[in-house]
Amino acid sequence: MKFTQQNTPEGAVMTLDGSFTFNDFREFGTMLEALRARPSCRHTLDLSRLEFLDSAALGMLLIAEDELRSSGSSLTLRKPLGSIARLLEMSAMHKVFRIEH
Amino acid sequence: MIRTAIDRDATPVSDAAAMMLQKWLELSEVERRTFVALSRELIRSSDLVEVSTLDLSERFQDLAAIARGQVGQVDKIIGLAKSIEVDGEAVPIEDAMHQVEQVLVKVIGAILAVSKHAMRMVYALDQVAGDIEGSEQCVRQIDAINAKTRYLALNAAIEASRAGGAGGTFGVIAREMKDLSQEIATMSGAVNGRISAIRIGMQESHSVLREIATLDLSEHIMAKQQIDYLLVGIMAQNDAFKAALADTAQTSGDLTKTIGQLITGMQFQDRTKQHLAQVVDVLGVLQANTLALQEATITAVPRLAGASGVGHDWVERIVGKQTLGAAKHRMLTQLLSDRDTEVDIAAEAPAEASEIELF
Repeated sequence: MKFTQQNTPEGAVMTLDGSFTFNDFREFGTMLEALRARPSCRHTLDLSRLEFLDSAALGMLLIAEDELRSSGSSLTLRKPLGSIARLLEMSAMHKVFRIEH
Repeated sequence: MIRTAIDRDATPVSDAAAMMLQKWLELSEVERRTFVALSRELIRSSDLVEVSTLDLSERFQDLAAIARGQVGQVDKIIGLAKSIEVDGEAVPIEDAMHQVEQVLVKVIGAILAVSKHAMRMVYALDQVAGDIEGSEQCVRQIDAINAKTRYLALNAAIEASRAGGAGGTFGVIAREMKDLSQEIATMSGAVNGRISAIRIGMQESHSVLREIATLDLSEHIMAKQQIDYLLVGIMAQNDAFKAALADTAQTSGDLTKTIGQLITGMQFQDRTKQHLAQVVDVLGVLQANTLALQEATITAVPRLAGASGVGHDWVERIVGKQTLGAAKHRMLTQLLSDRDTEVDIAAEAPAEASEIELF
């Protein structure tokens, strides 16, 4: 997976491109540390380019939400499409995250 | 014959008039017997209608009972379609589907919790692996310092040896430093060995955890979507099933109602029987009147006595248009023999048959 980051005054917008799987845990952990360094922000994960998401990645998303909430920030999932949107729906992620369609 | 009886007439009657009276007597006899035959036919018809109506009524009653039973069975099926039996308890299908949905939600929640905790452990082990690497670096630094210490101790021992008696005490310190360096090296080796063991354990744990964490369960999560579709399909089919059964129950109810109305309609038989009885009474009066007039005519004109047979012309005109074999047979018997065939129909059959051949 390829991460790209764009910083805004409200928070960072991270764009996830390709497949997000267990193999991306170190890079995602590093990105999470960078986001935690900016407390009390509204961070966003742009999922519009994401093609695949496994259950380990779902676990990482939940960890990110926990970590950012504990630092006073929030995490929004933006534009999940196709199978990604269906997986998030079946996982009831809308009860955990704010999801922008 | 008529001419020979003229003298016995109470009132002189011409031959022409006597012949006409004879014709009238024949016609009246035919009519009298016809009245009798018609009365019996009407009574038979009335009895037939009564028996048939009662039979039909009983059959309709049976049909109504079957229809009511069908309504009950359909109601029972509708009741069964609304629920399923779970552990001996009737559970509405909607509730059962909701329970399945809840189970799926819990399963998916468990999958997500496992994924989340597994990844937390992955991050934690990764952190520990970093700490171990830091510890190994510290041990390496200790070993480097210890190597320098040992080198210093060796140099100190050499210098003490050169100093002779004055370097005795310094030589003791140099040996102590060497022993201390040896102990540090031994301890450092032990620490290094334990750290290596921890690293191996960590690597094995990380490997196992990686296998768990990379076990993608997203397909199992997506299975909920298929099950949701199935549940929706089952519910839709069940609703259609219930609607069809409700229509069937309505139809059966309408059928029961219609049969009830038919049974009520069967009461026409009572009115018909009363009407026919009145007609039979009138025919009885007509028959009695005809007989009385015949007797009065013969009393007035005695020579006509015994001349009131039935003319075949009259009989032929009456029977000719009848198409029902049994009724025609009975009418002929009555007109020709003045009695009902049911009295002894077997004995009279040949004679009747010959008469029928006549027409």
